[in-house]
Amino acid sequence: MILILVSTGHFDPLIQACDKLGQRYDFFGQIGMSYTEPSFPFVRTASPSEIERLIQKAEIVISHGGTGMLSQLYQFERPTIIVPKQVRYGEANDSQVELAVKWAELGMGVLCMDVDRIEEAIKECRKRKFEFPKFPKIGEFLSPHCSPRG
Amino acid sequence: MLTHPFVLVTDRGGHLHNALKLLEQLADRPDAIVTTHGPDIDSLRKNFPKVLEVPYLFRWFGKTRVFNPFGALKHLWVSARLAWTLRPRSVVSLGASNVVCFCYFARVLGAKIIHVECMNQVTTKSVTGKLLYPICSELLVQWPELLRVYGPKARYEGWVL
Repeated sequence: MILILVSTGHFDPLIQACDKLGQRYDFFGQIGMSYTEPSFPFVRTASPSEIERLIQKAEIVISHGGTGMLSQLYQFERPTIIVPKQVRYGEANDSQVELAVKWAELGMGVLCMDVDRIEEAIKECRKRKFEFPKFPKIGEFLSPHCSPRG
Repeated sequence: MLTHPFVLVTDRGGHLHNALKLLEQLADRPDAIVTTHGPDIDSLRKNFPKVLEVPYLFRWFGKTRVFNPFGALKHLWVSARLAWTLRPRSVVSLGASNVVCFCYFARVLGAKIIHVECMNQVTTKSVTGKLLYPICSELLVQWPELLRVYGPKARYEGWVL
């Protein structure tokens, strides 16, 4: 199953692009408030635990470039295609692009800037081996600053 | 009188998700969480006894952000009232523009402000980061590249995840 994750907002161009691929792929969508209702199975929203269950079941995850969603995917180390929401898709800004590019540079996902190239990204994702580097934890520095005794 | 030594301020969605991941790394739980309203607030209240909401500074119509002077006045009033009643000693911010006013009021009342820049700021500053930099004692970035554009108060100590 290829899981599409949109969170609570809209991402119609992505849903439409996946819908165009028809029966060739086994898509399942979490489509948020998108106006397009695809022909593949979908839900609009799901609880965090339900999303986690879907992520663990998915062969590939196609996700928007939101911080919360990418953080969740990092936790499960799933093969991911990141499609950042952009001004050209009706977003107010391109704030997802920086993180999506960085995520791909680190080898944690395949970057897809153009929804019309989603099929190429799926093929690339199936070939690729992903790496999930570990980072220092900011909490070690912050804890003394937040202590009632601090 | 200090009633809430440690207050965490954040915003709905990804900011809140990252704030909760950060709390898993901290030795102490916050005495209060200040955030904006969203679908994830109810589940947050089950785990944290004191979750307080600030109204949005801007209104959104689809993708368009609209400044509403009455809404902004309400935002200022609620932010000031919360800062006054909570009297935090340390404020850790993982929020967007909706928490800036609270942080300024808390700073005036003597709080130490630490802002953690959002993970999606890799090479450019966020508006929140620019606004909070003058009043924060430390600004923590999550990517070392971002240190190049901030001043000496910025430091990289790792990730919230």
